[in-house]
Amino acid sequence: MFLKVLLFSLTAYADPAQFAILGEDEPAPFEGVLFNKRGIAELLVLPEQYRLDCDLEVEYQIDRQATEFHLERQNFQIRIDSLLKEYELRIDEKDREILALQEAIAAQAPNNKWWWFAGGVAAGVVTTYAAYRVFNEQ
Amino acid sequence: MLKIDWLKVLAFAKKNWKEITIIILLLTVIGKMRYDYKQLEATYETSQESLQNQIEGLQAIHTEELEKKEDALRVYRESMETLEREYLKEKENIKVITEEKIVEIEIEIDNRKQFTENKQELADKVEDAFGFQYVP
Repeated sequence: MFLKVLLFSLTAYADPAQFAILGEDEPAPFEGVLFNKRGIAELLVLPEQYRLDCDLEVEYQIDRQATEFHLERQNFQIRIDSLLKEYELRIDEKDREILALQEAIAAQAPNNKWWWFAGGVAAGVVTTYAAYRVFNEQ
Repeated sequence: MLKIDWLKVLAFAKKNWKEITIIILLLTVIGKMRYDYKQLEATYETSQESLQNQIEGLQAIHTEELEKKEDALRVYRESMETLEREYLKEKENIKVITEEKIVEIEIEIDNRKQFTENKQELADKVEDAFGFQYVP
């Protein structure tokens, strides 16, 4: 921090970057642009500065993209987890429902179905006989 | 104590056996219908309970999903802020480095008298940096 302040205080007193345009023999071998010390120093530093800026920008943009990608990936993962949980929940509930319905069916038609069958046949016979007797009476 | 005359009952049943049979059968049918209805009701309640459980479960899952997404977004924002801070800091750092380099070159120009005695040194630097041709 101290170095930074010192550096900028030094540069504040230095000449600013200046340039002049010279014509032929003014005195110069050809017409062109003249830079002062600060000007040429800034020009010489320019490629390095651009390189550093470019590296920084590339790194920054890559980091941003990586962070965005990470968020996107995380959101997808959260969605997948939720869908899997929903799926498991639905399957569990359906299994429970099926079990309850199976129990209801089992209660409706118990294992001793042969007794029911025999009872049905006997009831049929008795009803038929009773009807026969009734119609015979009339 | 109520006394039942079974002979009278038997005689009554014998006389009205058709009506008694119809009543018994009717009661059996009604009983069976009620039993079936109860079974249907139980089935319906099971389905309803299952659906209710599903709704509650889905709501819980949805809430959890939203919380997780909020967390992820918060972490993302924090990361972005950190990145931005680091980027600005590094940019400032580059400015300082560049300024140091400029001052260094200026000092070198003065010390090495590159504007007067050692022009070739400065010319070489310009040539290296930009590929310009030096005309003394």
